[in-house]
Amino acid sequence: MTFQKLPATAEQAIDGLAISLFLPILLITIPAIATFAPDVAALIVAIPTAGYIYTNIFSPLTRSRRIEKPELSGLLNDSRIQFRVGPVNTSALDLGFRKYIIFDEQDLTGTYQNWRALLGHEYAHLKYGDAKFFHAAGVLGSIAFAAMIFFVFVFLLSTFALNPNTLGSEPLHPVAASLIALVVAGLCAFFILWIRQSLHAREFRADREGSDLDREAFQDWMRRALRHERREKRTSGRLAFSLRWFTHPSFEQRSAALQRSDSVSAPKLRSEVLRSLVFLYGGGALSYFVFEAMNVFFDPDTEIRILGLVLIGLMLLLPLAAACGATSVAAMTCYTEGGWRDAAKFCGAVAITNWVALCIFYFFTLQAGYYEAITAGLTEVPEENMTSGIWQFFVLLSNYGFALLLFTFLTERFFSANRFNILLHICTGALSVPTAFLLTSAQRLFWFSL
Amino acid sequence: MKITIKADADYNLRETYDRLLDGELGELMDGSEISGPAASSGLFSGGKGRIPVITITLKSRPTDEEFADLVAQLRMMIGSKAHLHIDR
Repeated sequence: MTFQKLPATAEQAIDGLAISLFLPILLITIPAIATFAPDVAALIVAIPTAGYIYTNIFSPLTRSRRIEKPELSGLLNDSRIQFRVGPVNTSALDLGFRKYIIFDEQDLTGTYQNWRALLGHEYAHLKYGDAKFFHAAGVLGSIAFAAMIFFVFVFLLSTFALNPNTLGSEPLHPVAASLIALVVAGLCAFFILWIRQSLHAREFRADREGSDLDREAFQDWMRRALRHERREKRTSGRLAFSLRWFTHPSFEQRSAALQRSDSVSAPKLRSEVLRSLVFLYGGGALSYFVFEAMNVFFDPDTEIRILGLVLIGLMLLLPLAAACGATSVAAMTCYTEGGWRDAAKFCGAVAITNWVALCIFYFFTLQAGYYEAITAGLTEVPEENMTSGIWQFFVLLSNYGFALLLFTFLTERFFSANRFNILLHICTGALSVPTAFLLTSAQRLFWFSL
Repeated sequence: MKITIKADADYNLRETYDRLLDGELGELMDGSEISGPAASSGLFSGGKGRIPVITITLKSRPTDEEFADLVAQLRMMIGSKAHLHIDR
């Protein structure tokens, strides 16, 4: 029996895209720190990576020993999992070529036989790629956290101390510096919180699977864990802070989620649209930020090699591609859950909300134009300050919505088994933009030829 | 009277704690306060914390016989991986 390889889910795609959206921030922050403190930059990358590998891979493996458990393989109907036991926390470890479930001795041979409850839970982590996601999230998240602290701290410090030798060629205006620091910190915080909500959702799902495998054992285990948590809360007033807060939801939340068991609610159109907007504008903002940051931190006189050019291109395009990919995934999710009607509604909603955003932006640009004119003492706004009209952008956005729907149809038709594959969605998401342009040009030609 | 169970090295007293709370020692522990705060686990490792220490505060003072019984049962429960400290 081979390991069940489940096709990628929408959630995995979104997680992957959120990570790729965020990579450019890391790719720019670390080299930026390296320009003035290369040792620190190396440490910021090395320490979290080494720490993660030691704590989650090396330590559990070396402190446990292999055991043969054919009856457990039989229960899971899967013979590729290796079982280990040792004085470590029960966990699942996915190294790609090999997958482990490592048991705490007391869970396997203790009075309560906790393995009954935990087997299904840990197997779910392997089945759904949670264990792999944990690697990416753990390493990138902790690097992001360290980089954020250092970058924001030093950046602000050096700017306010007006030390021209530290960053770029001259210190930035304090307001600009604060803004940049705020954006970086905000994006890092958003990313870290994103990882957290994803980890928690995966824990809830693993709990459901654990319960499915052995309901009585799982409920018994949950009852004891809940009891302990409540007593701790009573005595200490609040749960002791630890990294448990980050990776796992509290047992209160877990038992509540398990009882609800109406698990995955159909994605609401509003939240799908909102999320795609966050991706779109976040991606755009990130691209812009990366571009500006490169101008600030990298000396324009240095030669840019081909590799550098490729990397820069990637850093600018990756957020945009990820953003478009996320919108594409959302369209596919709407289709999967609600058919063509829902998919069309979503694409329409994306187009309309972007119209609204465009109008708001246009309004402010106009106001800014007026403001500049007034402050310059002119009686009317000069021609060059007026935007040339936004009607064609409305058409473009409508065509984008249509192109999105078209690509969703094509993906469903030709790739229905892999419909949530990340690379596929980055491609279709990215392709829908030039397609929209093409459609707009074609329409304009058609109108003018009449 | 306080009895403290301290675990050696990385031993986890969680099971002992659960068994005590489930009333395995029966009447001997009636009304006693049992507390077992979890130590935070290392960086990155999620899930449950390890319980390194359990503190039992007996409500009423037991007779010598009862006390010997209690200690014997506790010792059987924790085996060799933890120590008892008794504070009369």
